[in-house]
Amino acid sequence: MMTFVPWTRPRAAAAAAAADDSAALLRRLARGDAQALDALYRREAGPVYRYALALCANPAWAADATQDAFIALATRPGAFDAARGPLGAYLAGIARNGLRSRWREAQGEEPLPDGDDEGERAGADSSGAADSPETRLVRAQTSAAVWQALRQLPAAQREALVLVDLQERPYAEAAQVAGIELNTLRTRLHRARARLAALLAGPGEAQ
Amino acid sequence: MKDDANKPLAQALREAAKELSALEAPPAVWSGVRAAFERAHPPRPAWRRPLAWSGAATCAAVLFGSALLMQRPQPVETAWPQARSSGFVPLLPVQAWGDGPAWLVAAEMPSERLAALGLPYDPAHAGERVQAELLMHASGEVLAVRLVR
Repeated sequence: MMTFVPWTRPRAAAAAAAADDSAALLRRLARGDAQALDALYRREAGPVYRYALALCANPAWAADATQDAFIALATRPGAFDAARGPLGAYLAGIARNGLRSRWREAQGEEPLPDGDDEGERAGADSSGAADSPETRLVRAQTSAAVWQALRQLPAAQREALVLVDLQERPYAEAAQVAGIELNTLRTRLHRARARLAALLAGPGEAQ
Repeated sequence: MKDDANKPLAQALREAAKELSALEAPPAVWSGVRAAFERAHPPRPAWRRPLAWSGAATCAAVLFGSALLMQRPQPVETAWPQARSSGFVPLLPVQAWGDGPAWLVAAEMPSERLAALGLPYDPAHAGERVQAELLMHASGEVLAVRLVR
């Protein structure tokens, strides 16, 4: 006998299940349950650290930002509001604030912008065709080249690219982490991809 | 990134994503988090733990029950003849019961033991426990047993 199973988007269903699970774990954490903290850390620490690392390219800073986020969660679990987004976005947001503080302290380092930076370096976006950009792009697809190109992106564009393309976060969540509107995220992402493609294609393409 | 022109970029980003996904936070991060958590939630003193109270309550109940049991010695010297004709199954020959006081002790046993004692036993109730009374000599020997329920 066939059973009717309503169709749900797997990603949405998984997100809902994770939210339920997070709520239960957070309740236990608020009661001082160390195992709940352990479970939350195992699930969320990797994405938060990777986000921070891809953003700042500094393992020590990324580790500190991740630790700050989880210490905030461990000591004040009630500060997280599930109505405002998933736990992962909340933790990434704390890590982001930690990185911004570090950037401010270390003057000369590139800070993450408070607002939109779409006007910034807009001229650097390249859409022009070169002799054989694809061929050169393929040659440039070494890991080092990609990461080097990522580091050359403006911080806001790099953040959009890291959140959506490298971490595969949903657009809404990525926008929440970055603290921007969805349309702004889309624009930054579009520009980041174009600029990254230009950087990977060769020195002449990015400028 | 759906058009063909962006395929190489998409490929490059996939590779970078794969590389990134293999990275984990250093163990020192967890150590720091755990230390902060323990500072925020110091372990409770033993006397404040709920388990300690429940353990103490259990001990008190056992002691109280034991005291009650010890306070209900049966004057068995006069009860023995009754016991011999009141459903008790002797476990020792009556001649060997000897003199001295004995007590009635409530007990619980697996129903399978009934058959071994020559008492009515229903295999349908195998695995269940039954209430019984033991006639126990002061020396600790169980003289007889009676099925209560």
